[in-house]
Amino acid sequence: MSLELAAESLALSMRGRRLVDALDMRVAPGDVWCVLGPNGAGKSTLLRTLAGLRPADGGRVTLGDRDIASYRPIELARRRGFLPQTIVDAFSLSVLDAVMSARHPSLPFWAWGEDQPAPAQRALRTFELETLAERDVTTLSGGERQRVNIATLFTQDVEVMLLDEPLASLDLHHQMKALHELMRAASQEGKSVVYTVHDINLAFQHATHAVLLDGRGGALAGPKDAVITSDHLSAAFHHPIHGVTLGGELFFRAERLAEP
Amino acid sequence: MTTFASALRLWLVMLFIAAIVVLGSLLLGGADSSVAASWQALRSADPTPMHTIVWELRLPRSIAAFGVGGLLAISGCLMQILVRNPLADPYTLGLSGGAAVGALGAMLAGAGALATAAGAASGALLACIAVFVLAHRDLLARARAAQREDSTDLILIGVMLAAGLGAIVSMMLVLAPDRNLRGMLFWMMGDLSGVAHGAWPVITLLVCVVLAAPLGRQLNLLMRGEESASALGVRPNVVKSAIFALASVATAVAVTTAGTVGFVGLVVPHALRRVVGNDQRVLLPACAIGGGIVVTIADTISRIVVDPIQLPVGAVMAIIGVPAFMVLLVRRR
Repeated sequence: MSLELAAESLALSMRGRRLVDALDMRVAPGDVWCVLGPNGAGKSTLLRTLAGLRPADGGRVTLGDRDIASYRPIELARRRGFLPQTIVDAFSLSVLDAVMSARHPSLPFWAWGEDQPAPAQRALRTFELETLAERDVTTLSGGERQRVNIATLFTQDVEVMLLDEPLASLDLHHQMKALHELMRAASQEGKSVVYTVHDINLAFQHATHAVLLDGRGGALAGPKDAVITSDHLSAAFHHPIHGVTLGGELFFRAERLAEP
Repeated sequence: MTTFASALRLWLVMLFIAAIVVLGSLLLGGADSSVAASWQALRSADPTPMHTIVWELRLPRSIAAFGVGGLLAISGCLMQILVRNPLADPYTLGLSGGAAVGALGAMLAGAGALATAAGAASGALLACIAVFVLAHRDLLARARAAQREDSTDLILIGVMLAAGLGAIVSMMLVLAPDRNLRGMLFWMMGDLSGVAHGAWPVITLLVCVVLAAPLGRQLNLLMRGEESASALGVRPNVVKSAIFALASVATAVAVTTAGTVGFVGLVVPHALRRVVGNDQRVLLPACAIGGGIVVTIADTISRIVVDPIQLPVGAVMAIIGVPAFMVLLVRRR
C-alpha cells in the first residue's frame, strides 16, 4: 500500500497572522522533503497540519486521496508518525518502555504488546541505543533523548514520517546517521519523509524535495534543486546567502554581517 | 519491560500480602483481646461478645480501610497523569476542600454520621463540577490552541479552589462549639472508627480498576505529553475526561467513608513506581492493592497502639510512611 500525502492550496495562520497563503505539495512514497524557513515562519505549524494534529486554515490536506480530517486518530496513527519538537518527560520511564509505547496503534485493544519486540529492538540498534535500553529517560542527555524519540518514531513503523527538528541537540555523527536512516527508509522501503531543519547544507544533501517558507505568506515547494537556490534563500531569510561549489557539490554560505 | 505474566505474578503476590494484612487486622485488638481469642471468634459461629467485635466491628472497618486506601492510591496515580505533575494527589483539584465544607457543615448542624457522609459526598461532587466547568477548555479541547504541554491552568484552578474552601473550613473550625471540634478535627485527619458499611469503597475500587485497566496503554502515552500521544492515536480529551471522572469518584467515595486521609494518594503511586516501574497497566492495579495494604496496616496500628484511645489514621500513616518513603527515595541515588 502506498500513501500519498498532499496539500492542496493549503493556508496557514497563527494568531490572526497569515503564514502561508497557498501551498501545493505532493509527497509521494520514496520522497524526502525538507522544510526550510526563518524562525516563526510556520515550519512546525505546517508539519502539525500535515500530520492532521490541527485543522488547516484554508485548503486541505489529503492522505491517500482522503481528507486527513476524516480519519480517526487511531487510523491516522497507523499510517503517519509525527515527532514533536520537544517531549518533556515528567515521570521516569525506561528507554525500552518509551520506544515500545509507539506500538500502541498497531496492537489490538486488549493486547499487552510484549510479543512484538522486533521493531523496537531494530530501532534501538539502528540508533545505537541498545546499551541504554534499561536507562530512565529522564536521566539521559538531550541528544540521547532525541535519539530515543526518533527510534520511537521508527518503531511506530508507518508509511509517512513527519519530523519537527529531528536534528536538534544531536551531535554531528548522529545528525548524519539520522538523516541517512531517513533517506534509506525512503529509498529502500518506500516511506515518505518530511522534516524541518535549520542547516541548509544538511537539508540539501539529504532531501529530494524542499519547501521554503518566508513567513509572510510566500511558500515554494518542489524538487530541491528548483527550490533551494541562493536567490530564493536570500529572499526568504532576509540575508545574503551564496552558493559555492566545492568538490563538485553545491554548498550555501551565509554572508558575514559587516561591522557596525 | 514488564510482561503480562510477570505483572500477574506481582498482583497475586500483593493480593496474598493483602490477605495476610487484613487477617492480621482482624486478629489484633486492644489489650483486653488476645490473638487466640480473636482467632476462635473468627472461626466459630457462637454469638459471643468477641464474635460480635471481630465480625461486626473489625471486619467492616478493615475492609473499608483497604477500600479507602486503594481508592486514594489509584486516584492519586490517575491525577498525577492528568496534570502531568508528580506532586499531584487526589486532593490537588480541591475535592477534599469541598467534601470538608460539606461534612463539617453537617456536623455543625448536629447531624449524624449518615448526614455527614452525605454532606461530604455532595461537597466533593460540587467541587468536582466547579473544576470541570472552570477547566472544561483544558479537559475537552480537541487541539491545543498553542503548543502548551503542561496543565498549569488546571492545577491553578484546583489549588485556588482548595485555598478558598480551606478558608471556609478554617472559619467553620473557629466558629464551631467545643463539643463538635474534636469530631471535626478527626474527620479532617481521616478517621475510620465510624464505619458501618465497609463494602462500598471496595466495590467502587473494583469498578475503578476494571474501568482504568483498559486505558493503560493510552495513559502511558498521555504521560509523555498530549501532542505525542495524539500523534499516536490517543484522543487526549476523551482520556483526560475519563480519568478526571474516575479519580473524582474514587476520591469522593474514599472521603465520604473516612474523611480526608492524606499521604497515601501521593506516596503509594510514587513508591510503587520505584519498585514496579512506570507502566500504568501494571501500576494501577498495584496501586489499588498497595494503597489498601498501607491504610489497613495504619488503621490497625491507630486502633491498638494507645488503646483505648484511637489515633487518626492519616497521622499514623504519615508518621510511619514518611521515613519509609525517604529511605526508598535516597537509596536509589
